[in-house]
Amino acid sequence: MNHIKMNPPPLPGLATKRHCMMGSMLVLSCVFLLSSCLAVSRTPPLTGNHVDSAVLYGGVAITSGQFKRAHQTIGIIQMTQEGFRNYLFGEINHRGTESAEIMGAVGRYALAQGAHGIQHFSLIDRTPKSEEMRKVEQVGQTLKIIGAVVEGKHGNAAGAAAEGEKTEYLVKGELVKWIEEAPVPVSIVPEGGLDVASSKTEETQNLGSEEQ
Amino acid sequence: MNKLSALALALVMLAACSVQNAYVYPESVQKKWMITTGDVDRPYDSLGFIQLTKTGATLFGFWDVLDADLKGLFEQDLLKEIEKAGADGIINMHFHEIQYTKATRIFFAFPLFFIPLPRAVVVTGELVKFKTQ
Repeated sequence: MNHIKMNPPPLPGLATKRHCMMGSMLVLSCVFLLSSCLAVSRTPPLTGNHVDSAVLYGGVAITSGQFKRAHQTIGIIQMTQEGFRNYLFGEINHRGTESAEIMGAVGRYALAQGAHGIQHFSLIDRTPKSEEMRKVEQVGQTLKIIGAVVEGKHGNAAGAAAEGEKTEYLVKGELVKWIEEAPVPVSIVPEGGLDVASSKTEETQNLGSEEQ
Repeated sequence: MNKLSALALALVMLAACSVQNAYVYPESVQKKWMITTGDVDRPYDSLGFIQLTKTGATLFGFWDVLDADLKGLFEQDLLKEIEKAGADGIINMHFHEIQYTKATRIFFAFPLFFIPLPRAVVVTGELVKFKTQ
């Protein structure tokens, strides 16, 4: 008597292990193909190098270049802001990792150090991800959770739902303090001392232009 | 033994080679936008600090399946972003592209052909719109 061993038919509506594996492979290939996608991040407007704009962050002017206004460099600044991006629900520390919020925080810190401005400013996203990549990660994570639920491993499903990655933003710049323009000396001097006074004025002007 | 020595010699000779990449802005781009790694004296309104990151991969040392280089980033993405923002240009630009010398590429063509070489290019800068004087 021949015994024909038959596999039980898959339950309708439930993903089988093979489906999950195929889905995972599909997601992986999507990740590979979409890994050339472009990630763009943009901050709100900066102050500008002429400091003629009302835009300040934490009471401090910020430019990516060098301020045209007379200034004195008083130090440098670096700030690292970390967050956590859950694959399914996005950034957890959403407020803390917004570029405007980061710039406000760095501005307040610079002001506390006695600075009026930050020049040569840069805000770098150390973990850039394109929108497409995030979508693929969401789908992949969803499949992982479904797979774990189908297998009855509810703990694994919960773990997969909490998975994500660390995000990191790096801010760098140079701290500056405004210098009040030196007034042109006007004084009544004896004839012999006129040359000295005029050469001093020149020196002051040169100094001012160098600082600018 | 001789074969090994020859291979080692070839690798040493190739190790000294360099790799260059350049992108010359087309004339139309030069006329339309101000793209500079420095600062400008003209008064402007800032439109924000921008970062563009493109990643890719090279298979078998030489086959760029997912290209991520300066030329591609400038032509396909940066100019588009400048236009989209309504900017007149980008100033204080910084850029970096991962480059591989021939020696490295050969090494990843044989024997490490199964490991893809990661590619990445990053451009940062400030988008600006010049004030009409």
